Formats: sequence, C-alpha cells, structure tokens
Amino acid sequence: MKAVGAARRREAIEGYLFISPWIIGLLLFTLAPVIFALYISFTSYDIVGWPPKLVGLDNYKTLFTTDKYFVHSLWNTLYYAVGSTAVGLIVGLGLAVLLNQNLRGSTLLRTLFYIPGILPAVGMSLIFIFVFDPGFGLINRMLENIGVVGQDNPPGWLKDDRLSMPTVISWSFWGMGGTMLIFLAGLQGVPQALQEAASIDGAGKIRSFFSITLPLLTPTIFFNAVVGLIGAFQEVTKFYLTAGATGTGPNDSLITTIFYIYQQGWSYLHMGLAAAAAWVLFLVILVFTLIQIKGSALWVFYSEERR
Amino acid sequence: MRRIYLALLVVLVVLGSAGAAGAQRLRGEPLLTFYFWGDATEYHENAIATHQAAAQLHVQIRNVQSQGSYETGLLTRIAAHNGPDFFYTPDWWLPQLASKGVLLNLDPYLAKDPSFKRSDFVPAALEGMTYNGHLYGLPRGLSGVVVYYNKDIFDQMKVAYPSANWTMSDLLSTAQKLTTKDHWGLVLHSPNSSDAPNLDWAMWQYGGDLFNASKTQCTLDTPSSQQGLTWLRDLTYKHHVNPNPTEFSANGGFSGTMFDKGKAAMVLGAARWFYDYGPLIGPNAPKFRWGTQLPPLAQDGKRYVYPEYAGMSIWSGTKIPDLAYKVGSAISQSNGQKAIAQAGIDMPVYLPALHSSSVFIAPDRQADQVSLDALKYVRLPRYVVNMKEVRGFLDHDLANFWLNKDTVQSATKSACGDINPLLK
Repeated sequence: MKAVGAARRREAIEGYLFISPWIIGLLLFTLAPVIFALYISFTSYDIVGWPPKLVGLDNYKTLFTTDKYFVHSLWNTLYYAVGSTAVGLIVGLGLAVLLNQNLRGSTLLRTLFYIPGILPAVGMSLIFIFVFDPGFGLINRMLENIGVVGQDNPPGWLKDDRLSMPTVISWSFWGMGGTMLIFLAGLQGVPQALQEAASIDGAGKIRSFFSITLPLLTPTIFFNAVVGLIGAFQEVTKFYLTAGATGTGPNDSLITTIFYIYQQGWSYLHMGLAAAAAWVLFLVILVFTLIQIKGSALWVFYSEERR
Repeated sequence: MRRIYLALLVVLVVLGSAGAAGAQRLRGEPLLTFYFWGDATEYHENAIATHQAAAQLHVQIRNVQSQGSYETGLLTRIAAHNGPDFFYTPDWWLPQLASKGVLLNLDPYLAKDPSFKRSDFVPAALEGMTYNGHLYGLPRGLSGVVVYYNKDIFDQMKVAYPSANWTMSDLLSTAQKLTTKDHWGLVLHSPNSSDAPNLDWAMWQYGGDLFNASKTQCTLDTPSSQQGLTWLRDLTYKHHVNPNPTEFSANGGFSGTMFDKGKAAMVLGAARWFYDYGPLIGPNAPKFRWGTQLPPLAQDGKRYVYPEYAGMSIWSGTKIPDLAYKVGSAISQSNGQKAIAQAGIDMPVYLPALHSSSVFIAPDRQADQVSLDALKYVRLPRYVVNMKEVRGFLDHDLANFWLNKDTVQSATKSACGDINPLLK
C-alpha cells in the first residue's frame, strides 16, 4: 500500500510539473494583468509614469457621466454582438445543413467554406471596405447595373450612419467557417433512427428539421451562441479599419468599446480610464453570458434528459 | 522521472547558452537601442558610422514601419522601464512626452558639446523640439509644404505658371482653370479631413489658428479661423477643384499619387518630396515636366509655410545618455545630415549641409531654390500636451462639416467645446 501511495504521489508531482508551464503562464500573463487592470482602473495611470495616483471611482464616474463616447460605444458593441452572432448562427447552420446532405463534392465545399475563416481579418476587412465603397465598390456597381439604385445618390454603406453598422454586421458570414464545422459535427450526431422514424410517421423534411434536428442541435446552437457573443463583444479589427479618420465612423456609428479602450489607453494615455472601461465591458459580457446560461434551461435540449 | 530530469537539463543548458551568448555580446562594447519608423537603416548606419568607430559603439537598430504601432511599441517599452535609449519623436507628440518626464532634457549636453552651435541649424527645427524653454530633441530634418505643379497641364491649358507673389484668389482661379474631367486643379494633402497641413495652413492664410498664442483657448470658432476652414471645404463642394472623399479614395488616396498619375494639376506637398522624383530614385519620377512654387501669400500679405519635421529624443531612463547624445548629434550634424539628403529621406536642418550643393538632386535649380526659400517662411503649428486628443475631437466634430453636412459655426463651436477643457 505504501508503495502504491508513493507511486501516486510521484505521478501527481509529475502531472503538476507537466502542467506548470501553462499554470505559470496563466498566472503571469492572464490573471496578473487582469488584477493589475482592476487596480489601475482606480488610478490616473498614464502608462509612462509610476506610481499612479489613486482616484477612487472617478474613472467609472467619468465613463457614465461626462464621457462623450463610452455609453454610445457600449450600445454599438451590443448592437454588433447580437447582430453578428445571429448572422453567424443562421448562415453557419444553413450551410452546415446543406453540406450535411452528402452531395457530390461536399468535402471540397466544406474546405472552401472554411477557408475564409482562416484568412487574416485585416485583409478580409480591406476587401469588404472596397466592395462596399459608395463610389467604385462592386455592390453599388451591381445595384446600378440592375437598376436598383441610381448613380446620383448611391447608398453610402460605411459612410452612412444608418447603414454602417448593418454593413459591418453583414460581413460576419465571411468568418463563420468554424461555426459551420461545429454545426456539421452536431448534425452528424443527430441519430438517423429518429429521422427515419419521423419519416415513417409521415413527417416531411421541414417538419423533421424543426421537430427533431433543431431540438437536438440546441446544445450546439447554445455553444456557438455563447462563444460567438463573447468573441463579437471583443471585435476590433473590422472597426479599426472601417471607422475612417475619426476612428468612430459617421456620427459615431462605428465606435465600439474595444476601440474606445485602445484609443483612451494608447492614444490619449488615459490607461486608468481604459482599464475601467475594460472592466465594465467584462461585466457586461459576464452578465450576457450568465443570462444565456440561465436562459438555456428554457430552450436547450440535452438528449440525456430523456433517460 | 529520469526523462523529466533529462528534459529539464536540456532546457537549462539551452537557456544558459543563450545567456552566455548575450553576455558575450554585451561585454566590452555598450549596446544602444535606437527605435525608429521607416526603412532608413542604411542611412542611420552611415550617420552613426564615425561615432561608432570612435566610441566603439554598437547600435542596435529597431525598425517599426507603422506610425500607430511605433507609438504603442514605444510606450509599452517605456512602461516596462525598458525604453529604447534613443528614438524618433513626432513634433506633435513632443510636448506630451516631455511633460511626462519621458524625454531627457538635452540642455546640459548641448552646453558641454563644443561642436553644437544653435546658429548652425534652421531655427524652426530647434524651436519645434523645445518644450518649456528646454530642448528635448535633436532635429533630423525639416521641409516646408510647397505647391507642386504639372507644367504639361499648365501648358496644355495655356495657364501661366504660379509666381512667387501669388495670392489665395490666384491659387483658386488657377485651380479652376485647370480643372477638367481628366484632372483636378488643386488636390490637398488629405482632402476633407482635419489632417495637417490642411487645417492649420488654411486658417493661417486668413488670420486664424487652432489655439490662441498662450495655447489656453481654442480659437477655431473665431471668424478668421472659420473663414480658412470654409475656404478649405469650398474647394470641394463649391468650386469642385478638389476631389471629394470617394473620388480621392478611387484615385489612390494620396495627393502625391494623383500628381504622379497626372490627375492633379497642383498639389500641396513637403519640399522633400522632390527627392523622390530625383535621379536617385529614378523609376518613381513622373513622366511629365513639373515645378514647385511657394504657397500663396496670406490675407495679411505675409507668407506662411507649414513644416514637416521630426526629431530624435533620448529616453530619460537610459543608462547611457552620453552615448545616446553622441549618436543624436552625429545624425543632426554634418555627416548625418548629408546622409539624410543623399538617402533621399529629408531636407537637412544643419545649415552647412543644407547649403552643400551635393545634397540637392532636383531636376532644376528653381525647385531647389523654392525648397530653400520655403524654410524662411516656416511657421510652427501650436501643439499642446494633449495634442492627440485634440486631433481626435477635431476629426470627430468637423467630420460632417468636411462632408458639407454641417455649418462651420456649429462644427467649430462643438470642437471648441470639447477642446477647451483639455487646455485647462
């Protein structure tokens, strides 16, 4: 018994030794900065001077009272996060369903649909900026050719405050390769026997999809929705490139909280304020994630529950 | 378990070897970190070569291409108390860095340096690196923004070339005559935005400015400043001599590109541009005849030239300030300044180098003379500590005005409302 205990202890030590690089990395490069950010959010830290002066809750007060952009940036971020997650889920699920039909060439199509997801976001955003340019972009040229819009007053897309955010949201389908693959895996886990039983009972394909496939896919939808929303809250590249000279887009329609944090911290050297904004964003993401998790009890169906 | 020990041993040996190699590199010769933007490695190597030999100085050059990441990279290193010994400082950023104690006050070093004479420099170049009466940067180069014109288009349209004593109305009427469906008459550095030099220069021409002389009040909303801003906007939306933002993007997004392609009869550009057109960088030379002229006289009869320049500063936390100063002075004085010009990077600010015939490579002497004359009329923009934040508000509050969707009164009132609290 003693020998077994010693062997287990040695095994445990070896295990800890193997995971220690990751744990040390997590503590040093993730947890420590998070705690440091919390501390500096109560200071007037300007990056270059040390030690920073404690200012209590001033930064948080500034964000919600005198600051011109922060609340608006939160609203834009929420708008984008919900919109882009919805687009990603709908398009990703649609494509996965199509690719799950075992059509000829579907393996090639899977690869093709996934490729945009691994392209650099900067390149992708620049391409879309050109495509949606009001003057020479492909979209307006196409709309002109089919007579939908005139040359005199074409849609401004990114230059029009009413269209800019929906335009950026519409690009979300481009990077949904990962979402599509997860849906595909989920679809392949739906028992064929259930589909066949429904078919024998007279259910058509649409009825079968909504009554069997979709309920069984809800855990996958839930996972994609949570991960997608968290990622969308932190989107930066698209907005950094599309917001133009102002950095906030036409009439501030494209300022997001992440961009606000970057601008305050690195451009204006208000790192204390930026840290406070980062913490507020963290809490917003936390609240939305908790709402999703709590709400999932109402609509997510785990097949094990039937047992 | 033996395997684990073996693996740890290998890691320790590798790390130890790397440390030993680093120590070997540092032993005997000081290492100076020089942090800069652009791709001027060869020029910097030339510039510091003499001092490198004399002081046995090893200079580690770090190059970062983008201005945005340059600033972030620099700040990150300084925050980590690992700042570069020596780095470029954009003119507008100097007050902020100096006020926060990031930059070394160079006055004591200048006092000890017998080779440094203020009279050897273009005065504006030193003044631009001064904050609260102390010098915080050594000038690298400075060139005035002048008017470039396409002689072929002027001849084709039978319009006289610009003269040295032309006025703002001459500039506009010339631009109107030169505007056709094939080219615009006058293309600004960056039309329809609050970018320098558009904003400052246009306001100066009508007696306005961004701030008052003591930099305690935003003066964008004064009638003279508003007149300058309106002139700038009207070039696009009233006189149609300057492209709108969409046309500008569609034609390369840079006035120099439009000039090169024959899409702009006149552009405002830094005098140092002509190095790009010279024999050193032959393939870039435009295929037409071109000339330069000083910017037109302002409404008050004076001439104002907007400067483009950069300086080099020493981090206040450096452990080798003397060596950093030696490198800086090598670049800002004779050898370095000649290297600047010969590499086609900038116009020298060191007068003996500036007046050396070898530094000018323009295709005709007239362009050389305009570049030299422009330096006499340089007017430094008024920069404040929170300049980047000020520019952020300018971009934001004037955005709709530049698009002709807001009045000058409303836009400037909003901008001053945001900027004034930053000046207190």
